[in-house]
Amino acid sequence: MALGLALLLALPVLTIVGSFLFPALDVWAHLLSTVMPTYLYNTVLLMFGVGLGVAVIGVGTAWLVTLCQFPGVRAFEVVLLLPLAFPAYVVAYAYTGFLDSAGPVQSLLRDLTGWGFGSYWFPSIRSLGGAISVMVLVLYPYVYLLARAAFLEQSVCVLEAGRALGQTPFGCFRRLAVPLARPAIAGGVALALMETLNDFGTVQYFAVDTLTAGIYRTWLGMNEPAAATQLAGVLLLFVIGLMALERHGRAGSTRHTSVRYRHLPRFPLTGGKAALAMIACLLPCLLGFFVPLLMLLSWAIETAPTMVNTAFWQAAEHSLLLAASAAGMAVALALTLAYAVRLHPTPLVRWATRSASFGYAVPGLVIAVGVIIPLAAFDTALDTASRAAFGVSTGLLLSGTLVALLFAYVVRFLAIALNATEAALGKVTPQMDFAARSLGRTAGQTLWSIHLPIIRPSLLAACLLVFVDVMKELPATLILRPFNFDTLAVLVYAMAGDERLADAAPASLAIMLVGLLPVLLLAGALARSRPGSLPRVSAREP
Amino acid sequence: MLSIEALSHTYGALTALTEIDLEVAAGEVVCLLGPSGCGKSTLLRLAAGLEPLQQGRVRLAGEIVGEPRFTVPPERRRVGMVFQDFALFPHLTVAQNIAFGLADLPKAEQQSIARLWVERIGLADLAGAFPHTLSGGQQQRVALARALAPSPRLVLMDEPFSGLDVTLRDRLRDTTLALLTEARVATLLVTHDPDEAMRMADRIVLMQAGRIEQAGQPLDLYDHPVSAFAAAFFGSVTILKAHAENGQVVTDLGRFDVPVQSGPVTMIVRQEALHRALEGGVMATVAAARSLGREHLLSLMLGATAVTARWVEGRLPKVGERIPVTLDRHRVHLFPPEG
Repeated sequence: MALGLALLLALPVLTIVGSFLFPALDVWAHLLSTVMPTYLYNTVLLMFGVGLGVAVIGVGTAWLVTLCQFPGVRAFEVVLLLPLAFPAYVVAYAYTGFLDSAGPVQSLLRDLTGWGFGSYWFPSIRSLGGAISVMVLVLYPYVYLLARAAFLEQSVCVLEAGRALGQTPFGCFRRLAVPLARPAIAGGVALALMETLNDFGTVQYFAVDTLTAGIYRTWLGMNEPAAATQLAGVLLLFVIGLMALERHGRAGSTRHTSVRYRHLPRFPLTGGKAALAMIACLLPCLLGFFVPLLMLLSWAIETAPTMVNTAFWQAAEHSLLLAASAAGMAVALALTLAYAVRLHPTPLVRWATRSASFGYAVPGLVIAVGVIIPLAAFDTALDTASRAAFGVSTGLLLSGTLVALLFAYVVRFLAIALNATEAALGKVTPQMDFAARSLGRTAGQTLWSIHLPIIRPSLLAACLLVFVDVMKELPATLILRPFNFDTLAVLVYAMAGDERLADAAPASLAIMLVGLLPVLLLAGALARSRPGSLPRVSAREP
Repeated sequence: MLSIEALSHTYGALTALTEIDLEVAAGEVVCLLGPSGCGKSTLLRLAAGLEPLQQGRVRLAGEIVGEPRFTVPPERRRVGMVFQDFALFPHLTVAQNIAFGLADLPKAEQQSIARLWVERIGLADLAGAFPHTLSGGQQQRVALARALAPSPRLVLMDEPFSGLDVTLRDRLRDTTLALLTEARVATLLVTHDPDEAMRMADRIVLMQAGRIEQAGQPLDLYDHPVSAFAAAFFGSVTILKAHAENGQVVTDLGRFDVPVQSGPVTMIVRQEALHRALEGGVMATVAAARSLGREHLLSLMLGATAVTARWVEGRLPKVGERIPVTLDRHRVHLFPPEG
């Protein structure tokens, strides 16, 4: 059964891979002569910019908060996580309003200088540079989290030996700490870049022609599914590269020379240096969280009375319904798969489970395309068969329904649930299984009476993580939702598309508030965790 | 009660067990003894039904419970298990742990049996405690009570004492033995500790490299080992090489009859074979001497042969001193060289 489930979950990705391996040559010729070079160019630039940005900010802040002492360092440890609560597109909308000609920044500039509207040059946020900035601000916490954990795990002895050998603190950072943490940093950057490729709302709104934006436009705008599928295949190649990078990061991160952990002595910073460190930590959370939050709040105060209306509540209900069902299904499936691996740890079952969790790296848009093709084929086949046999048309049974949407969510987010479940099951020793079995319980009863009670907190945390990710999810929802079925994310997207940024603010804030839950959970875990131990819960750590 | 016939087992290319035959009667404690990796834990898992059987047959009370392509799952075997790490369920109290295997009985009866057992193991006032609050010895007793509460036909114990400190072990071995005897249950206990096996077992099955090396009463294995391995496994020994001629070897320790006409033999001298002679004896030179408190540990040179000895008699000799010693010839074993 587990094998069948795993195969079903791998179906969307296999569909894309299949059509990519057997391409229509004329489609390719067309793509290459028109949009492909632009898409590739922009995608590569975006990835490069975001990768560089998140690495610098993530590693820098992680180093400061783990190994230096300056006022507020404990608070910064947690506050630096806050941008994780925002989906990138919400921040993009907030900055558009913040920086446009009627926004607070330019108004202030005009008041100060006396310049008139349009009489001066101001950089446009709706550009590749803008997209890079927004994504760096939202995604640097991935690198921050993993780099911080890596710095904490580094043996104090290595750093102290470095000091004793005449290195300055900064020399230790550059020549010892960063090289040692490189696998973790690479892993964090890979995760951030996966999110970059997944992002659709930002690049679409900023009109940056990346592969992701291109797939959507080719599919819905130009109605060329074949070309969109090929583009999705190209995007998948990027993802496979990132997965390799991330896997490399995880493999390397377990190599420690010392298993002894000691509380790291922090380098005390004073005066100007302390001020600089504070600014360096303050800027990312200020720009990544507080500025967009204030912008949204100021809009929402204005628009909430009219915008928190029936449509809003209905969208909220839809979002909650979808997120709760997807979370429940993903965790139930994850538990089934993880327990199957535990009962029958054969290479085949292991491999199947691994491949089922492949979806975490695949952009939502690619999964949407991969879901729609087989489901539509199934519908068509069923319809044809039904008409031939009974003379009745079944119509579209699966595609364009909640079934398709939930399926896509589960494919995309199963890995989160699976990782949490596997880690939690690891806490139940095999001997406990044996003991329960020898005391007369079947495998199923053992799962129910032993494993479930022990791992319940982890399962709830996994539910929460999937729940929040579904709330934020935009591209797959956009493509697969039933006609006129709006979620909060879709509502925000639609209003932003109509340049009603202020009207979108209440819904944006609602999404952010839900997104804050796992961040707080993570912050709590960070605060409790002893130096050197990785927090159990993390936002999207496969 | 438990009967294992012609059982063989492999993990891929690795042979874990070869042609094992084993019987455990009701009320009998049989120890599977051997170094780590000898296959004793695998045998235990196969007896429990935790792994499918590849070759051979396992019967419980005459009924076949394991054959190739047929395995009665562990939950239907009525076999109790005690593990090295005790494997108590962390989310259940002591009483709930003990009652876990009694799910078929009505609630009231479950509770009264659990109460009986917490009293029997002397933890009546800890019935409501959670496992992580208990000491190692208390956890071990709960694990035993949990295994015995459903009145199993057979109890399998995997290194049940090695997680405990030495002083505690002795006491718990006696308690455990008393509880097992009282329950009249067949017990198969896995251990790598020969002292533990000597102390607990009605019969010892000594294993090496997936085969049964020797099986019998504890004293039989000590007095009449069938191989150098079996002889050396119980206690510390000196292993010497000698050469047989005409069915005899002549050594610095004396003349011995050997089971080979001529050729090399292995000679095992137990540390307790040598004693300080009160009268007579042969002279030995003390090469090293150390008192272990209640006994002395000595390196002795008899002629050109170095042997170690351990005895309690007299004062600790000085290094270089020449002292008279006697040899207990029943504690010396000679074997043809192995393989």
